[in-house]
Amino acid sequence: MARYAARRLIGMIPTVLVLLFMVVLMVRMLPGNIVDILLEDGGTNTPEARAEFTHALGLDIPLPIQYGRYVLGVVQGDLGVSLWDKRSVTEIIAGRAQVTAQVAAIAIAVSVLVSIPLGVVSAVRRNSLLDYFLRSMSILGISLPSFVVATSIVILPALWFKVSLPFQYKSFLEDPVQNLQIVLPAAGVLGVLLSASIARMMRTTMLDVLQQDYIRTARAKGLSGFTVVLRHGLKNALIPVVTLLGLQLTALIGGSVITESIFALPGLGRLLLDSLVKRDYPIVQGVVVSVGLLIMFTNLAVDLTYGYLDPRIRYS
Amino acid sequence: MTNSEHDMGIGRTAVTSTATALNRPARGMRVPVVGGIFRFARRQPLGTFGALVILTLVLVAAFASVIAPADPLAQAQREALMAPGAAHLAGTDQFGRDIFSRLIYGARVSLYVGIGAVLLAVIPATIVGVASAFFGGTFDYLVQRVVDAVQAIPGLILLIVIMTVLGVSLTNIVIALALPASISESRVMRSATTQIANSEYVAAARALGATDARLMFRHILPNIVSPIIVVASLGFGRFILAESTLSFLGYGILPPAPSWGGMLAAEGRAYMFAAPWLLWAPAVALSLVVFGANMFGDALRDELDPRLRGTR
Repeated sequence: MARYAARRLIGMIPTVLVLLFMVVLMVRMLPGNIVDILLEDGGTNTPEARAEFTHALGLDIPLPIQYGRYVLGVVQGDLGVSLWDKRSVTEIIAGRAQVTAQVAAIAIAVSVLVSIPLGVVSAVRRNSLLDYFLRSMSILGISLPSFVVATSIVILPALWFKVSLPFQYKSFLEDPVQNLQIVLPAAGVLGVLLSASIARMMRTTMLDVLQQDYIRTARAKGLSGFTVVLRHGLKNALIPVVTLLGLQLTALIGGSVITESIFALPGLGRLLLDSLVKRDYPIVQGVVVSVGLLIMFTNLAVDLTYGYLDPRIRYS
Repeated sequence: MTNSEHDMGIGRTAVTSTATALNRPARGMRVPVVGGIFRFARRQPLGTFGALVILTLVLVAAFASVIAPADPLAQAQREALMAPGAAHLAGTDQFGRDIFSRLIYGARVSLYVGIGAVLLAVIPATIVGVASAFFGGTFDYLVQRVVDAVQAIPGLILLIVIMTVLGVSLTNIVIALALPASISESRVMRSATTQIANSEYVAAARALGATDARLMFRHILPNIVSPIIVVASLGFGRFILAESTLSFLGYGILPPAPSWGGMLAAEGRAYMFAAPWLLWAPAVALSLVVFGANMFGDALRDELDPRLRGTR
C-alpha cells in the first residue's frame, strides 16, 4: 500500500509539470500588451513601473527559464507575489482557503446525507412512482443554474419572512453564530446541488449490485430485505460513489466561485474572480495551481480508500 | 487498466461502460428507425419527454421570426416592467421589451452555444481519444497527462480563465466551453477505443493488411458511436447551463442580444422583487431545456448500457 502510494505520487509529477506549464503559458497568451493594460489601470506608466511589472510577470525572460523558475518556486511553496500589494500569493491563498474548506466540508456532509438514502430508495423501488419522482428531482437539481438557486435562497426569506442573512463574514472562532448563519445556507445550496449527481450514481450502482448473485444468495438465506440492501448491497455499491465524491470536490470548488460571490464569502472563488478583474495574474495562477494540486491529491486519497471498501482490491 | 483510467472511468459515471455492449463489429446503422423510436418512447418516457423538449427548442429557434409576437430588441418605455398578460404573454422588462419574444430569440443563442460547443468538443475529443488509445506508448502517456492536468482544474475556473484570455464574445464562449471538454471527454472515447482495439476482429482486419486509418475509421469509430452520442447529449445541456453561469459572472453574451443566461443574470436579478417574471421566465426556459437534455442523455445511456438493459 505504501509502495503503491509512493508510486502514484511519483506518477503524478508529469501531470503537475503539465499543469504548471499551462498556467505559465496562460499569462503569455493574454491579449494585447498586458503590461501596458495593467499600468493604464494603475495610472503609473513609467519606464520603471513597466520594467517592474514585466519582471514580476516573468515576461522579461524566455519561456523555458520562466517555466523552470515557476516550477522551482512551487516546489518551495512560493507562488510569487501579488502585483498590487506585493503580498505573498501563498499566504493570501492559505487565508482564503479556510473559508472555502469550511463550506466544502459541510456541503459534502449535506450531500452524503441527502443523496445516499435517496439513491438507495430509488434503486430498490426501481420504476416506481417514487423512483421517477426522485430521478426527476435529481436531474432537475443538475439542470438548475446554481446561481438562481443560491440567489433565491438569499432573496426568498427576505421576501417572505423579512429575515435577511448577515452579509458580514466572520470566522468560526471569531463569531460562531454569525459564521454559521452565512456558511450553512451557502454549504446547503452546494450540498443539495451536489447530491443530485451522487444520488443518480448511487441509484445506478445500487441497481447493478442488486442483480448480483450474492444478493440472491443473501435473500435465499432468508435475511430481511433491509439487511440485504444495507449490508450486502450498499457496502458494495458505495465504491464508485466514493470515487464520485472525490470528483465532486472539483465541482465544489468550481461552485464556490458562484456561492462565494452571492453569499459574500471571502474564499478562494471570490479571490479568483477579484484577481481576474484586478488582473492580478500571479494570484490567478496560484489559485489554479493550488486547486489543481489539491484535487490530484484528493483523487489519490480516494483511490487509496478502495482497499478499505473492497478487500478484493489489492494494490500492486 | 491503469490507475488513472480506473479512477476516471468510474467517476465519469456509466458512460465508459457503454463500450462493452459494442464489443462486436458494427454492421452499419440497420436498426429500424421507426420501431426504434417507439421502443425508446415506451421504455424511456422521461427520455422521450427530454427529446421532445430538445425538438421544440430546435423548432422555436428555427422559426423564431415567425413565432415571436414582437421584435426582441424593440424598446417601449411606456410599457416597461409590465406583468404577464394578454398584451405581453411573459411581461416586459425595464426597457419595455417583450420577454416572450426575447425568450424565443434566446433559444437561438442557446442552440448555437449548445450545438457549437458540442461539435467543437466531441469531434476533437473523439480524434484525441481514439488516437491516444490506438497508438498507445509515449504519445498516449503524454496525452493522458494533459487530460489529467485539465481534469484537475474545476471546469468553471478553467472557463473564466479562458474567457479572460480570449475576451468576451459569443464565439469565444463556445470555444471556451468546448476547449476543456474536448480534452477531458477524450478519456471516455479512449477507454471505449481501448476495448475495441483489443478485440479479435480488429486484430483480424489488421492481419488482412488494413491501414491504421482504415482500422480507426471503419472498425473502431462505428463501434464507439454510443459513448459519443451520450457524451454529446449530456454535454449539450451542460454547455447551455454553463453559458448562463458565465453571464452571471459577467463573462456572458453582451447586451442587448437576447440570451437566457443574460436575461437571468442581469435583468432577472436586478428586478427580482419589482418584476419577478423577469427572473422566472428565463429560469423556466433554461431549466426545462437543460432538464430535457439531461433526461434524454440519461435515457440514451440507460438504453445503450448493456448492464442495465432488460432488467427489472
